[in-house]
Amino acid sequence: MTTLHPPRADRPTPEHAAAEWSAWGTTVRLVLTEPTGLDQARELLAADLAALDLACSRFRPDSELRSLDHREGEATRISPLLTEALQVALRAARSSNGLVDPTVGGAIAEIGYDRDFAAVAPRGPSVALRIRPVPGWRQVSLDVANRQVQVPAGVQLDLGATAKAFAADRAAERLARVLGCGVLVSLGGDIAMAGPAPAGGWTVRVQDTPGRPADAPDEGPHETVRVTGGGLATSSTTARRWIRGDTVLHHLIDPLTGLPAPAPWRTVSVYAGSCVDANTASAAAVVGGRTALRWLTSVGLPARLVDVHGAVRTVGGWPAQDVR
Amino acid sequence: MPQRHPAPGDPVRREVGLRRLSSLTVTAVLASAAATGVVAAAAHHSTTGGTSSSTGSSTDDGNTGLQAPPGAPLSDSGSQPDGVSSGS
Repeated sequence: MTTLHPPRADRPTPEHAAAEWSAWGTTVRLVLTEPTGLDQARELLAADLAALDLACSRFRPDSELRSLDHREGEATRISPLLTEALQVALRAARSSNGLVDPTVGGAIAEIGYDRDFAAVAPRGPSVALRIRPVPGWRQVSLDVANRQVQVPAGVQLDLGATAKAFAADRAAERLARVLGCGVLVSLGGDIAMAGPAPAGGWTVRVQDTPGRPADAPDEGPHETVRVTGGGLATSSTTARRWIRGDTVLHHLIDPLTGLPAPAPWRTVSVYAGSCVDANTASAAAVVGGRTALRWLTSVGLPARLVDVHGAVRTVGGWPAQDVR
Repeated sequence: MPQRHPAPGDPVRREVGLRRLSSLTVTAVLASAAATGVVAAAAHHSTTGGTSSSTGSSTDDGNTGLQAPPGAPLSDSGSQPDGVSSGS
């Protein structure tokens, strides 16, 4: 069902409060419809992110996730937070027919993304690019009730595909409940909204390149849409890229090859009932390649796809393109 | 048992959560800097043969459990956005 928004002219002057800072190697943006709660909200969000980082980071040697590398397949009791994050990651894998797979950790580390992205050298010598399917999400056994996980020896988990979106959903819901106002949480472009939306909805610009709301990109197709809740996420091969030898690599790994997903799509944005679902679909679409349009249409999620030449396609009720 | 690394063109049998895909042919061609500037790997999936015990949803039926949004997005030209979704 399509929600009809009032005309833009009816929108009151927004009195939103916003804060922006860096965490998890990306930009965190918090917007509230009630300015008075901003300081409290920021503290709560920062604490949430710190806790999730300690539980789920692939790059911190002291993270709970990293500790699983040494358990050699032994059943391991884990925290409620990591249990939930793993549950989300495995659900994303199932929902995407295996295209968004948390067992890509070894593959992505092998091609150079083995530390916080800011510390990954933008250029370097050639690396061996081997076609090798990742172990597969079905290798991971998670007992949610008993908070136990078994990860086979040699399988390295990477929750990067879902952790930001999970964090955004979790924080937005929590903050809306605590503060009783509308909340938008953006973690590096993964956007979750909860609570009452502003009149006319939240405005979100989708684009290829990272940026701040105040700084429209000079290049590339971009557009602004209004949405009322749920999540909006964009996956792009133009972000988190690095060069080894003559080859440009990126972070969206095809589980079938263990290598960066090929063309045709460089950027896919999806609007869904949650940020996790939006991000699952957007990442799956990039990895799925030519099957993406058909799949997105079949699941009925509004989506906007930009191919490697900059041409825009929209499906599932996303407004017609407005290329600039 | 050591895992054999498939060469380009090799058939690869593997469970990937696709109900109707159990025999996959992965053909990957690596090249430096195609027109996109991104590693060029052409994955080619064959759907013939084999069976699968996967209970996951297929790529075709839309039965993924992904939650629909509260409404369709609407264009809003000219507004200062509340957020930017950029795929970083």
